[in-house]
Formats: sequence, C-alpha cells, structure tokens
Amino acid sequence: MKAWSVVAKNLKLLFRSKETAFTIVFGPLLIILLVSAAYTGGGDAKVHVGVYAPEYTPLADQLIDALKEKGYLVSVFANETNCLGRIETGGLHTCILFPEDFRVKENGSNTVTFVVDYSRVNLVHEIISGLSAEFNVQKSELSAGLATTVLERVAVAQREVREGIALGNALDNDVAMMSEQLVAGRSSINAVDVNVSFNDLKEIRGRVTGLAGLVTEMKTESLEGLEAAREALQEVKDVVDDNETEELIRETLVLLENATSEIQEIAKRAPESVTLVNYVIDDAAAAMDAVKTRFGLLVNASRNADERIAASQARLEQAARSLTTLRGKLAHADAVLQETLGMSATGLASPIETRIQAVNAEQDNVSFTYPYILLLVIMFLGLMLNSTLIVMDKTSTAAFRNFTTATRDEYHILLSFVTTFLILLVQCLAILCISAFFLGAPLFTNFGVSLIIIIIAITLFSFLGMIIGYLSGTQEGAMIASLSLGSVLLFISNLVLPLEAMNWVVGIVSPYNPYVVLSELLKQSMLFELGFAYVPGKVGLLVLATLVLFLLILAIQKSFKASYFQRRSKDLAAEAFTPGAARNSKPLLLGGREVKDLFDLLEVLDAMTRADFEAVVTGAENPIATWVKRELREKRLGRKLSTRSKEVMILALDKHLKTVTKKLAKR
Amino acid sequence: MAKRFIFDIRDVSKSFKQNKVLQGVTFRIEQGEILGLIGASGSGKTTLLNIIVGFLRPDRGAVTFTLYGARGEGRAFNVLDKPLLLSQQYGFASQHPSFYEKLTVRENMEYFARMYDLKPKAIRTNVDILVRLMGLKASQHVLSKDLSGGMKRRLDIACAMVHNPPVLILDEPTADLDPVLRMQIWEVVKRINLRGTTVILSSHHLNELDTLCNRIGILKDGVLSDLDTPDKLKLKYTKEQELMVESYPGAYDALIPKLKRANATKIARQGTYLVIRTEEPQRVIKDVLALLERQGEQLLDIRLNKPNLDNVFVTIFAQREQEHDRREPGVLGAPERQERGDGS
Repeated sequence: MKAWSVVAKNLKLLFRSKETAFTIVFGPLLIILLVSAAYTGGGDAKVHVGVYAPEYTPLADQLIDALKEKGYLVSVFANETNCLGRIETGGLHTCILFPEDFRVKENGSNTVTFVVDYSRVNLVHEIISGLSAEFNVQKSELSAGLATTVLERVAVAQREVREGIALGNALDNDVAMMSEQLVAGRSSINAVDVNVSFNDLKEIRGRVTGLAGLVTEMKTESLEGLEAAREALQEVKDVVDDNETEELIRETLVLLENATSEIQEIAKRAPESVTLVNYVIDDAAAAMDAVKTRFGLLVNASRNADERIAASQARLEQAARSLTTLRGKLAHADAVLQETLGMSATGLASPIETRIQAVNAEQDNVSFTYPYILLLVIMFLGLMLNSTLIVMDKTSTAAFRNFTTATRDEYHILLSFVTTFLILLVQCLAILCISAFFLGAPLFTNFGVSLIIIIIAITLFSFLGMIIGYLSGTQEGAMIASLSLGSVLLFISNLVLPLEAMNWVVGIVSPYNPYVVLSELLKQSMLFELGFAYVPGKVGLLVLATLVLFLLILAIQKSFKASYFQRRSKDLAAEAFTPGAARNSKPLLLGGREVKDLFDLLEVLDAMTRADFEAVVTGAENPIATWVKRELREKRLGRKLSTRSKEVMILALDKHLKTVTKKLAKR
Repeated sequence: MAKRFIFDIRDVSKSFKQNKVLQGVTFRIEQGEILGLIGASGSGKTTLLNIIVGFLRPDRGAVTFTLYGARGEGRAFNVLDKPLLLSQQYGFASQHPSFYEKLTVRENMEYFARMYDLKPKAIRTNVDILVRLMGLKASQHVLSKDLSGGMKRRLDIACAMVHNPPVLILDEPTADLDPVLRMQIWEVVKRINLRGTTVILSSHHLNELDTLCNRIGILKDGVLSDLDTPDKLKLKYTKEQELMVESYPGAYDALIPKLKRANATKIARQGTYLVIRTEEPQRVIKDVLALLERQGEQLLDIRLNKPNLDNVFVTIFAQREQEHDRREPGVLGAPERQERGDGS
C-alpha cells in the first residue's frame, strides 16, 4: 500500500502539472508523429548531382542522360571549381568529373571521379552506391559493346583463317600433283642412258689418214723453216761480236738442231700414229652412234619432262598466287588479332572506372560529424539551460520583486541571456580545445567565422529556450519541452537520416530548422573554411530569426508579467468566494431550507426523500438546475443537473465541488 | 502646512470575469501617514494595492501619483504612464516574501539595490542602515533560506526599502506570523515611518493596526465603505462596550433575563464569564453588581473592554450578513433574476 501510495503521489504530481502531463502524454506521440511523418513517404534520396567534363562527348552526354532518367537532379557545370564549390556550400551532393576525351577506348579505361562530401556520412555512401550502380550499368553496357567488337573481330579473323585453310588445302593438292609430275619427270630423265661409246668414226678416220701427207708436208716445210732459221742465225752470229749473244745464238742453234732432229723423228713415226688414231676413231665412231641413239631417247624423255615441268610450273604459279592470297588473309587475321590483342583487358572489362574523392581534406568520421555534434550540444544546452533559468527565475520567490524594481524587462531578459550565453560560450570553447587536443582535428581553422556561427547558434537556441521557459510552469515541464523540441529538431535534420530521404514536407520545413541551417553553416566553416560571403542569405535569415525571437520573448514576458499580477490578485479574490457560491446570489428554498451555495444544495439534496425531490424536479421544470445556471452562473453544472434523477444530480454536484475545491487548494 | 497627497485613487473598479472585486473606490493617501486597509479575505485589498502601484490596470478609474520636489512643488502622473519612475518611489512587500533564497541577506539587499541603479556607496550605506534597522545585522551573511519566518519578512521589507523609497506598501506583512514576530514587524514599520516614509498596509490583525495606523480604510465587497482614523471608526461603528463578569458559583441563568431588561444589548456566557454588551456600561455595571449581591453570587472578576477595530470589523460584516439574510429567497420553480450592478 505504501508503495502504491508513493507511485500514486508521483503520478498525481506529474499529471497535475499541465505541461508535464501534456508532455508526458502527447510529447512522445507528437515526436513519433512528427518523426514518422518525416521519415515516411520519402522514398529514395533526392540526390543533386553536378557534372563537369572538359569536353561533353557523346559518352558523357549519354551518362548524364542516364542519371537524369534515373531521377537524379543533374546540373552541368562549366568548370570544376564551381562544381566543387557547390558541394561545399551544400548545393550539391556530389560532383562527377569526367576525364578529358571521354570516349570508349580500346586500349584503356576512362576514370570518372566522384567528388563527395564525407561529412554527409549518412548520405554519402548511399550516393556513392547509387551513382556507382548507375555507372556500373553503363559500364556493363559499354563493356558488352567492346566484347561484341572483339567477337566480331575474332569472327572476321576466323573467317579469314578458314579461307586460308581452304587455300592451303588447295595448295596442298597442287603441290601433291606437282610432286607427282616432278617424280614422273625425274623418272623420265633417269630413264635416259647417257653412257655413249664412240667406235664408228669413219669420217674422222679418213681425215686422220689424210693427216699423214700433211705431216710429211709439215716436215718439209718445218725443216725448211728450221734451216732458214739456222742460216739466219748463222748470219746474225757472224755479225755479232758480243759473246753473250753469240752464246745465246749458239744455244738457239743447238735447239734448232734438236728440233730438226725431233721433227724428222716425228715424221718417221707419223704413219704409225695415224693408224692408231684411225683405230681410235673407229671406236669413237661406234660410240658416237650409240650416243646418237641414246640422245634420241634422251630428247624424247626431255620433251616429256618439259611438258611435265611446264605443268608443274603452272601449278606452282597457281600455288604462288594461293600463297599470296593466304599470306594476305593471314596478315589481315594477324592485324585483326593484333588489334584485339592491343585492347586492354581492364578497358574491356571496365571501360569506365570510377574513383571516389573527398571534397574535404579531413577523412575521419569524427571530423566530419564534429560540427553536427557541437551544434547538438549547443542546441540541447541552450534550450535546457535557458528554459530552466527562466522557470527558476519566474517561479522563484524573488520574481515579484524583480518585476517591481526600476529595471526594464528587456534588461532582465538580456542579462538572463548573457548569463547562459557566457556559460555556453565557455563550454563550447572548452569542448573545442579538448576536441582539438584529443582528436587532433583542425577545428580552429577559419575560427572567426566558426565563432560567429557558434555565437548565433547559442543566441538562437537560448532565445528558444527562454520562450519555452516563459511558456512552462515548472522546471520539469520546461526540461521535457526542451528535450522534446530538441529531439524534433534533431530528427528533422541530417544527423540521424539524410533529409533527402525524408518526407517532402520535411524538405520544405527543414531549411527553416535552425539546427539544420546552423550545423550546415558550421560544417562549411570548419571543414571547407568557407566565409559568410558564400551564405549571406542564410546568415541574414538567422539574424532575422534571432531578432524575431527576441521580440517574441519580450511580448511573452510582458504578457507573463501582466498575468502574474492578475493571477495573484485573482487568487486572492477567489478566496473570498466559497466554492459554489456567487456574490449577491438569491438563495433557493428547497426542502424547507434556504440554499445559499452548492454545499447547501448537496446537503439538502442528500436529506430529501425521493418523493420530495420528484415533487420539485418535474418533467416540465427543474428549478435546481435553473437556480444554478441563473444565480450561481454555473451554466455547465446547470446542464449536468438538468436531470430527473436525484442520484445523478448528487453525483454531478459532488464531482463538481471536489474539482472546484481541488483547484482552490492548489492555489 | 497644507496636506500633501501622494496617491489619488479615483473611482477605481476592477473585475475578474463575473466577480467584481473593486467598485468605485476613491480616496487619497497623504504623505508621511500610515494607511491601513482592512477587509475580509478577498475584499479586494491586494487588488487595490496592486492597482495603486500600477501592477494592475483598473477597469475603470485611475490612480495618480504626485512626485514632490525639494521646494514642495508637485508633479502628478498616472501610475500606468511611468512605471519605472513610479517604481523608484515605492517599495512593495507582499504577503509572500520575495527574494532569492540562495543568496545571503546582504547579497539579496545589494542585488535589489542595484536593480534600482543605486551607486555602490549608496548601496552600502542603505544596506548598512537597513540591516541595523531591521535587526538583520547578525544574519546579514546567512543564506536567506536559513532565516526564520519573522526574519524573512524583515528581509523582504528591507529589500523593498533598499532604494529608500518615499512610500512603502505592505500587503499582509504579518500573515502567518506569531504575535511576537508580528510585534517586531510593526515595530519596524513604525521606525520606517518615523524616517518620513509613507506606509500603506493591509492586514487581518485589526487591533494591531489600531495603534499603528493614522487612518484605516475598510473594504467591504469591493467597496471602500469607510476611511478614517481608528478612533473615529470605532466611535462610528461601535458604541457598545463589553462587560465581562465572573462570580461564584456562577449561576448566570437567573441573571440573564433580568439583565436583558436593563440596557444590555447582548448577553452570553463564555466559560466562567458572563459577557454583556451595552451602550451604557456604567448603568449596567451598577445593575450587575446589585443583581449579583441579590442572588448571593460572590464577585470574582469584572472587566470593561472598550471597543476596538475587531468590534468595528465584526459590526460592519455583521451588517453585511444581515443584508444578505434580508434578501428574499427565490420562489421555487421560478427564481427571479436579481439585478446586478456588474453589468454582466
């Protein structure tokens, strides 16, 4: 029982605070509703792609068209810097950089670079995979095209080779036939007997017989010549007184004497030699006859061989032509195959290669998400700290005195803000320093711009927290409301799921989500080192929103102050009125008693018999309900009492009095 | 010297929905006086004080504050027109002390002094004076939450006075305090008033206002039914005096009928006392003593209580009840709609 009492007490405390009850009951429902609404119906992310190509070739155009057909928002850029700059400012999700001379190449692949922003952690991989998938489709198509080309070339080479084979076969026949003919020619030639005997040379014999006379004639003439020569020499000898010449002449005369002797000797043996020669000639003549016979055969054989060789020559010429054709075909096949071999295997398999490149230099996820996380801290701290401080201040006992001092309300508001601002700024700087030290991230680059964004963020979320504080009655209510608002802003941001994947309504609302705007700005400043010149519109909008919030706070604070004094006075005035009684009301006579208020009425009704009650409350009229409506001015209660049942009337009255008493007790 | 009125309240009316809290309240507050406002709970005292200093806008009528210069020249303005200037002129202590419980006594006073743009030296001086005046010197460095109830009230008044305003408004400053603490508070109020501060206060403890206030206003059903000095009010509303008699053995039943024939307007038994109210106390005393002697009663005690503000209050509010009772009850089944002055 004790435990139940504690639980019951806690529940009562929670639910009797309107904003706490509201937040507990409706807060989660609201968050679920908002988040569900945000996360449903979004479908695929609406990716905005920028493309840049040094030359917009048909292949580049083909890929751009394919991306457009797939539902990507494609923007074509005239230069790379602009394309990359748009990623940094958040205008693009990725920039596709095509290479120079982007065409399908047989001897290599084209590398297409996807430049992405890795700080969009939850989106970047989806973009990469989505675009890569699309490019893979295109790559497959191009690869298939290239493979078809290869196959066509191989088919051509095959056709050429087959024709070459056919030519080879024909050449083979020609060569075989030629070989046969040559063999036959050789046989014919081999068949010729070239061994010739010269035994029958009658004509030569006659001539050799005539040679004997000639020899005699030659002996006479030779001797005469020699004698003339000796005499000439003798005469020369007689006139020459040179010893050496005389010696030479004597030797020559000796030689002439020797020659004369030999000629006479030869002339003596000439008839015998002629006879011998005749014998030889006779043999030669006989051999000649045989040779003539054989040569006759040889001529026939030669004629036959010539015919055959002529045929072989024709065949060979045909074979030579076939070989030329074959060589040409093989050369073509070789060239085709050479071209095919020249194709890059990589290029064939992957005619387009993709490369992922980060637009930002930082590569670790902590650096990417740091601006979002820092803004998250600022948002929740700003909301909670300010709402808590405002609730503490306005519900503190000192609120009355603060309101009555000679200090303007704006001054109090500003100084409340300054207090929390300083706390948050110091916290942020501490967080930045610690993070820079431990993470080693260059968080202080472009620090001037980052600091201004942080200041705007602190201011804006502080003002939002202050509004929550003024609208909340209790600290727990303010805390829950701050957490709820922070959660909603967080859910409708890029940190959990990419905004692009959410509902279109979120797409419209999110540019006005301060967390989204500020975190993107801070990211651009911290990671891309962009200045305000890139985002003047957003900064202007934020400053304007901050001013509007401040004016709103002033209005709410003034309203709260006015209601504060009115509430105090009303509460005190209410104490004068007994629950259920109105000033100057005319009493009601009921059951013989004078009823002045609802307590009296309840007492009298309780004491009344059913018959007495039914005598008073008839079908036609209900004086009790009429009195409550007219005199006590409790129209709602009057309606509830418009019943002919005494029990129903007592229950309604009892319930009403309990409610009123509780309300007064709470005051 | 002519009277200087600093507040001029003219025909002020205020309603919260159908409830008329104030109706045509008109009076002026004199510089340097202690003005007490009395009335039943919810009679509109707090609402009236809030309207006087411009916290609430009246539905009808206006409140004018006159700021007097060094030469005595007055500059009047509507309290709603110049709230910051007006706030320099008054200190307000409500029935719920208003300060930061987690600041010390001195820190609270210094903080609120700064809210009035006082210079550091003035702050120091004012705080030093007030901690002595309020009897908080020993506790000036104590956290406010650790103070006793009476000291909290004194701190609250000190915070209201820290800018040395010419007017101090105290709304039920002794509510929930025991008699000793109440007396301490009234003592402080007197001391403040002696410094020339005009004090406007409301309280339930009527008899304590009797000796404190220069004038007392009576709020009844949102109407300022009367405003006068305590003596004049007492004379106006109650001429009866209360005679209390105690005798032994105390057989008062036999006495009562006989006393009713004398000039006693009301006779009742209260414990061992017989309480007799009469407008002719001397004659009644004589009759009572004679009757007691005749009845053989031994006189133990006899007292004559002069009328006080409680009596005035009771008289006024008894009249209200009587007026209420005199109203004709509604006829069953056809209750008449009563004429209302609230216009609703």
